[in-house]
Amino acid sequence: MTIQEQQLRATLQRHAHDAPPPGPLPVAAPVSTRRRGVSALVGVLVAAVVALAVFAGASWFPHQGSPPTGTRPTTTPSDTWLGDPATSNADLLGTWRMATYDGRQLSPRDLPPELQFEQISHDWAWRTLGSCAGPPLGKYSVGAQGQFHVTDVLSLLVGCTKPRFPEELASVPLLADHAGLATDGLANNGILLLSANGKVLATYDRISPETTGLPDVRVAR
Amino acid sequence: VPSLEEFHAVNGVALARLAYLLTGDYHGAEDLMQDCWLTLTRHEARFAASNSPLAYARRVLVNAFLADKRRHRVPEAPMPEGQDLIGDDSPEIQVAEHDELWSRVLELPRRERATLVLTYYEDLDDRDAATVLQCRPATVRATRSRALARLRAQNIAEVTP
Repeated sequence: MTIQEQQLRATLQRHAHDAPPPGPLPVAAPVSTRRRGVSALVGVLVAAVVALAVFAGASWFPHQGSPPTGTRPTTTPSDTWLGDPATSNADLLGTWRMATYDGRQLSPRDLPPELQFEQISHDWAWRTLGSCAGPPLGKYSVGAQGQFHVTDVLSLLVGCTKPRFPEELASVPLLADHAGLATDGLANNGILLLSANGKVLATYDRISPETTGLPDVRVAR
Repeated sequence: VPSLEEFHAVNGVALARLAYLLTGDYHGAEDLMQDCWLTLTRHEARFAASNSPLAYARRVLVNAFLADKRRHRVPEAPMPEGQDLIGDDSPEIQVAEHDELWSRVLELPRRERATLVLTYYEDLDDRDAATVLQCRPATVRATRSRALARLRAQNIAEVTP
């Protein structure tokens, strides 16, 4: 044994005495074979339910082609622009004159890579659009995480590089954790700005070909 | 064959020391020991059926140590200064502060460190170490040579432990 190995042995033996106590044995009931079988069966059932839910959810998306028609409940938008509480969504949209929906469904490949595509739940769509768009029949969302300015959101979500809206609003940070485009399945689409816990910070609604007259969706690259 | 409780009473300290030499960290050794006891408790029948319970427990411990690396755990955030329950003058805090060789051993890759500890602390021959590490004896020899060469390259032999 070399000197180095002797030193190594002595060092290890000395430091071994600094070890913690062994700790108690855990008190754990043994898992029976039957219980394992039941657990596996429950797992399979849960997986099947999830798969069914996902399959059923796919049919709720807006269809390709013309948007479905329907009667939009007449309600007053309750969410207003944070930077200017006196400005309603409708006022903003009237100024923007832009389109976000031309009857076809956006797909992830249409989006710039910095966007995150996600499918939102029915409940989520109801919570976010329900206040001004009635019960949602569909669900669709593209979103981006971070803090945005109005221009960023519009450029990212709909590719409108030169949106026309009050210039003073362009410089106001939205401070939203999530910006998304959602539809209620009745051609009523909105841009949503959400906080991390899902609170609606602002909703820009009634963005559709009928209200804007601009049918093309242009996605920024 | 001893029961797990009897084994714990007799060999608990030895396993804890092995855990400490593998991790080089007091709290890491405690966590590793808990993983080890949990595994042994879950597989008590396999433990009881083994020819050598100590060798089986060593294998579980070393496996847990090596698997911990593969798991790529999110590193734990250390507590702010002054909030540790252990005093600064406790032996576990002072470990390795003035021992160059020990600190170099801790910088070795996990498998090399485990090989050295099994060889020079547990005094296992190549075959027994290979059983614990689940590899061939030749691999143990090669790993040990590599570890020693790495220490030698750092001029550890000149350092007085």
